[in-house]
Amino acid sequence: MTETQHSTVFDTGQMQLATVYAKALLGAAGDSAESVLDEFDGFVELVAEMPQLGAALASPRIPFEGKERIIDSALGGQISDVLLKFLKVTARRGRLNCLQAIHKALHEVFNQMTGRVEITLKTAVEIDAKLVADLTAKLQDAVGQKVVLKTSVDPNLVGGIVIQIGDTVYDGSLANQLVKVREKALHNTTQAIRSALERFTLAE
Amino acid sequence: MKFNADEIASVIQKEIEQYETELDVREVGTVLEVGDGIARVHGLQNVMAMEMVEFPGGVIGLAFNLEENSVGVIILGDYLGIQEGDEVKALGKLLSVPVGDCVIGRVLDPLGRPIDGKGPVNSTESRPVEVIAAGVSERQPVTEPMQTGLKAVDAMTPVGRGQRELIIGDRKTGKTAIGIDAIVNQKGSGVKCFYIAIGQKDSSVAVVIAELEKHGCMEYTTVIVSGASTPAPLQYVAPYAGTAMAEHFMFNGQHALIVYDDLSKQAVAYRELSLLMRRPPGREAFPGDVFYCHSRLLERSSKLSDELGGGSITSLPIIETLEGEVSAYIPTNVISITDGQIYLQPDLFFSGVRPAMNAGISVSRVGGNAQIKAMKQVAGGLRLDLASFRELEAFAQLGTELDAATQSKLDRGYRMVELLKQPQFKPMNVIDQVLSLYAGVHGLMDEVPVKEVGAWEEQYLEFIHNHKQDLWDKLNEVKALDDEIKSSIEAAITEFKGVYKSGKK
Repeated sequence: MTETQHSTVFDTGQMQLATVYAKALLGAAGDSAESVLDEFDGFVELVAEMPQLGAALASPRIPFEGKERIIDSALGGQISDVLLKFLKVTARRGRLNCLQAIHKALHEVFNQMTGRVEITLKTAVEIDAKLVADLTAKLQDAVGQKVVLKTSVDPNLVGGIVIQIGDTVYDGSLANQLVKVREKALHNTTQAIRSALERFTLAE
Repeated sequence: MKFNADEIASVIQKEIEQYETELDVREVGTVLEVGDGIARVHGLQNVMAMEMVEFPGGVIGLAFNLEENSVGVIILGDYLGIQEGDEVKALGKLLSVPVGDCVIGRVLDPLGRPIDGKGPVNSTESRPVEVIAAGVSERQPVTEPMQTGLKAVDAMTPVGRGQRELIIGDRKTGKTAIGIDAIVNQKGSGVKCFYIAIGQKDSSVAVVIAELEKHGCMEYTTVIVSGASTPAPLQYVAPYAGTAMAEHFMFNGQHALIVYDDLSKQAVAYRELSLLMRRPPGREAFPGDVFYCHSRLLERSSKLSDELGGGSITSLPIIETLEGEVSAYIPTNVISITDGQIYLQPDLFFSGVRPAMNAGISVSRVGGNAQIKAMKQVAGGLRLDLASFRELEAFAQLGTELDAATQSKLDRGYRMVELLKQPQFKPMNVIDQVLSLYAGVHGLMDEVPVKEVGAWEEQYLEFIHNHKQDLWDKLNEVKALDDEIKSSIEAAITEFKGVYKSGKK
């Protein structure tokens, strides 16, 4: 997945591939998985800051030896050996274009391995840290697993919160309720009019 | 009419006051790609095959392909408004359509939404579009006749209630006309009719609806339209939706007749979907389960056992062949599924034999069981006689000298062919059919010139109704030909011949 693509665009083939690489990296990292994950986050951030670097790594026109040299000179000594080797293997296999997907898959697989659930929380306005902590605790109780809460702001919700766990959405937003009220009122009013038309018409 | 705004406002206000907030829980996915009436969706982990999903704007789809990384969805509606990244909601239910008396007399789309401008369909019940057909123990053999009102069909390839009789032929050979005539003939019989137009020109569907209205058939008929401009998913679903509406009547002990016009177009729509979904193509690029697509549809036409009310669905599927090629994939499939076929031939049609039924290769596998006794007695050997006449006729064209017996057989044949001609929208009562076929089969009109056979028959039946109504009533009551009735029919014909000759122009 490249940065130019919309965040909702998925490449399912790449995602499947990324899961394989993510599992391999976490397996190789063993106990130091968490720190490797942190380093990977940093690396992805770096690539995001320097689009040319990302383009160079993803480009099929640069031979893998060149990419290995870039990785070595830029990151050598700064990141763990495992990650360095992993990036070189990925370069050798010509899969550095999947960096974003691998990054995403890494978190998913890591959460799965450590029994954590990623939950997305959407609100209409920014909420404070205390509320986030409260919500996280509540959600942890509800799902019975450790929760990684990701928050985002969507003014279209008007009010309330929307929680997404996996593919299931718990929608408590005001926008959704307004739509529901409208549907219900429309339906019941037309039915009332149909059943007793004379009540709703004025004599001429 | 002027509406009272205050009154309406008060109802809405009450609705808002009574509204209770509840959490909306839904399973969602994201559109990966969309086009050509299908969408690929990421997510929807727990969606089930053929489950309904909803796109933004209320467009409904069906989960058609469940793959490892995505779900293939067929979109039943306008797919142009759907965009990449849109949220797709699983509805947790199967596609269903409104059923009951409220659909009768309406023109609907395959989802049961009205398209005739006569207001909403006020249904209280609905039925799932795809159900498994009734099993063996829930059925009984087909014995009750389903009169089509066409002499040629009722005499030679009788259709029974609960039967599937295929109408097959090239374009412009009168396939739809047979289906429509069968619907027209159901007037007053309590049979509910369904005309399902699939992939047809909207102009021809409009003509059919106008004709049905003109002949007063919309009182008991539902028309389901998915024209040539509707997306393939809707064309694919249309016959199942119509059958679901008919099943409501069947399971309530009533009778229904469905005309599927036509299933070749539905197969083409299904092929389109399957290829877009990347299902492997087979013969003629149709998917492997195109047979199942038709067999599970037509299997739902049945005659239920008496314990279940004895209701029935009779279906007349139509298949269009190309250049008379009945051995193509879809025609052979549907021929093997149905209980017989009416084969219509272009050369017969253009030589004025209408309905243009080829007696030789048209059959009804339910056969005589679905005829009244009198018709069986009259028309028993008619089909074979007519088939052998066609052979003889071809031989006679060689110009050879014929002996008297052969010549008389030929003459009889010409008259029978003439007698079996019938104009459109003129279905005949079965007793009338028996009376006129009796005259033909027993050679009682051999001396009538071939060109006058039609006029002779018309006046003969008029004569019977005017002067021999008691004979007609008696035959209608016994529904069989005993010696007494036979002799009185012959006497009546002799009497009529005197009148006819004198009344000749």
